[in-house]
Amino acid sequence: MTTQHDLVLHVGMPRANALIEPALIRLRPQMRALGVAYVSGAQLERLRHASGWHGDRFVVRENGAAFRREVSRAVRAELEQAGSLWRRRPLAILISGDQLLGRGPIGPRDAEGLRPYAEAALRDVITALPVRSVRVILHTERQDRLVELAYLRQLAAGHSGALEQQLPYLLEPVLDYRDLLKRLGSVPQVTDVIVRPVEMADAGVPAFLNGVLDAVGLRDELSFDVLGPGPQTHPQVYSAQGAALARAMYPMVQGDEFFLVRQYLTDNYSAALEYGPPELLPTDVRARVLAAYSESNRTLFEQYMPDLLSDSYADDVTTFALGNVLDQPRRMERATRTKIKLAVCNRANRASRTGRRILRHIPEHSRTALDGVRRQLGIGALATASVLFHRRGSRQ
Amino acid sequence: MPPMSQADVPPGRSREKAARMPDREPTILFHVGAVPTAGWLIQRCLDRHAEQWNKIGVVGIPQAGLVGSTRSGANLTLDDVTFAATINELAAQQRTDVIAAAGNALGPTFGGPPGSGLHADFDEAITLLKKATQRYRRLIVLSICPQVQLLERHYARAIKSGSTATLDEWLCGIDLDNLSWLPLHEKLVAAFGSEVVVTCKLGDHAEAHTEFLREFFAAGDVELPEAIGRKTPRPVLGLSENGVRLAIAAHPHLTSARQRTELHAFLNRHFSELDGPRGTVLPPSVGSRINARYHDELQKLLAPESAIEAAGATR
Repeated sequence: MTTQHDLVLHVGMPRANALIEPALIRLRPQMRALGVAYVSGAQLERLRHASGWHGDRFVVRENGAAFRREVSRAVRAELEQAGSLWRRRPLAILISGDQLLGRGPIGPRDAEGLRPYAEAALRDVITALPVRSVRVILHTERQDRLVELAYLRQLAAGHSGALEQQLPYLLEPVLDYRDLLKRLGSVPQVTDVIVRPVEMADAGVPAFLNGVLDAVGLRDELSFDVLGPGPQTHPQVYSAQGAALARAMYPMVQGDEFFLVRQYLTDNYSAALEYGPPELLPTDVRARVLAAYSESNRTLFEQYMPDLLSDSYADDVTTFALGNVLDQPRRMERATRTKIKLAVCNRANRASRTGRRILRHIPEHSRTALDGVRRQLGIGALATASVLFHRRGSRQ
Repeated sequence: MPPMSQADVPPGRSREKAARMPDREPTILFHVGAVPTAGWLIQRCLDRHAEQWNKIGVVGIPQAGLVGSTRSGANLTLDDVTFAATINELAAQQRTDVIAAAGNALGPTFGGPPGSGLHADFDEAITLLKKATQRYRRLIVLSICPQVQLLERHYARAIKSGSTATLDEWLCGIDLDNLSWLPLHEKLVAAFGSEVVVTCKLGDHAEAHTEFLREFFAAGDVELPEAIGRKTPRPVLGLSENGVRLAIAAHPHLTSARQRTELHAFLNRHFSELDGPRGTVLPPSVGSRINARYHDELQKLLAPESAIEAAGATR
């Protein structure tokens, strides 16, 4: 029987993923050592039959089964790395990526509801995996900022229309998180939906990550030193001047020339990472956007984030205050323990994989006998033997 | 005077010219011409090889010693006080020829009052030049180019300095029937004498640049050293059609000269005329009309009696 695991899906929104994904990739060896398999949304998007993923209306339905098989294979490979020694024990799987809410940036298609393909996209991934429980984490972003970030990303992708053209529903409250959360909660096997505001990331990426890692039982367990000095709390986007230049220059270039101009603008006209995306909306338009969403945002906070002020998305001051909510991770206390775990567990995981490879070449009857020995001696002894074997092998 | 041995002849001088050197008073070779002609080429040639030129008794005056801001501060014109002081200092050194080249010494090429033609403000500059050089043997080289080339290069220059006008829009501000070099040439001849003023034309390919330099220096009895000739700066590449369009689109959003310089460095690297058709080319109908209008006068100005070869031969 296949072991069933706990699946945690971090589904967005875009700013949260831009911060979390690169950090989680760097933390992957530590997570593996501690029995958590991490797969990024980008990895899934690169799978050969990703066109079969219900991420948008261009889905190739014939590729659906192949896509799910590939997802299963990708996750199994990561699970092997993460804890083959304890493979009979359920492990945690963490998948993070805004692709889980549907392909493509927020744009015109969201007029019919925020991330209209979220349910189908999520279901595809969940059904591909042997899971016993599914938790979904969503980081909300205040709608005016969300729209600005989405527009800047569209510009970077080569669009050159005005914000009002690209996102015509600007002043209509269509980007309603409550509706999205309801749809996410209705996906079979989803047992829990955790909602936090992404503005909390202003406290720093480690503090923000700690909240996500809490869902897989790794709060304060990892050393964030690998993230380098002060990872930025905002994704890289154009400055206001860069956006104006992109709009002026992109209609004149195509193919390789587009990539050259984009690189030039990225190198020279990116917004300062410490301050985040520029404010593109005029003050009065921003006020109208906030007013349009004020009621739904208040209910959102009351319903899903009762520990936070219900007016947190009412204005800049209350939103800014969200950056002071998170505690910094207790990295100093845990650092030594994590290093020891890393040294021991990774080696043990590798050794176990070697052991299993050897077992595959042993005839069936001998394998049964070995299985009996293993049961008698216990998994610890086999692990020790595997470690020693692996160590000897690596010396040779 | 004993005959000079081969060892005494400085490189870059012919034996007979070298023999004349001790008795010879220094020559001031002054190059004038519209901005996109040869001023920059001569300046760069002098600046980059200053040491080599010094060895053969030639000194170039850097741009800073020639031109200063006008009252409006917008354009450059001959700075007679600095120029005269520099000339006197250099000419005091024995056997030293002084070569000065500044394309914008005569003030802006376009932009004068209606009907004033090229270099509307050249009167004042010519008077200053005459006054500053009157004590010395001098040769004034006026470098000209076909009007079509002049317009195209000036438009490219306008784009480089941040213009947002298309070629058609830019041409609207220029009187195409008043682009003659003759008034300037006549004024120079009247001020300095026809034997002192020569005209020359700069081609737009690398070999033509070397040839131009050779002839220019020969007019002042100076032989262009082969080593310097080999290192003649290559002509600056123009922007492609797409490069010009990108520059025009981007300029309104740039806020500093540094940003403009960076943009043009980028465009020159990836959107030069090597990457597509040149973007500063006049429409054929306009080009042929201008060529027909000024063909005769160009022939006359570049005729052997006024061209640079003739000047070199008679001196």
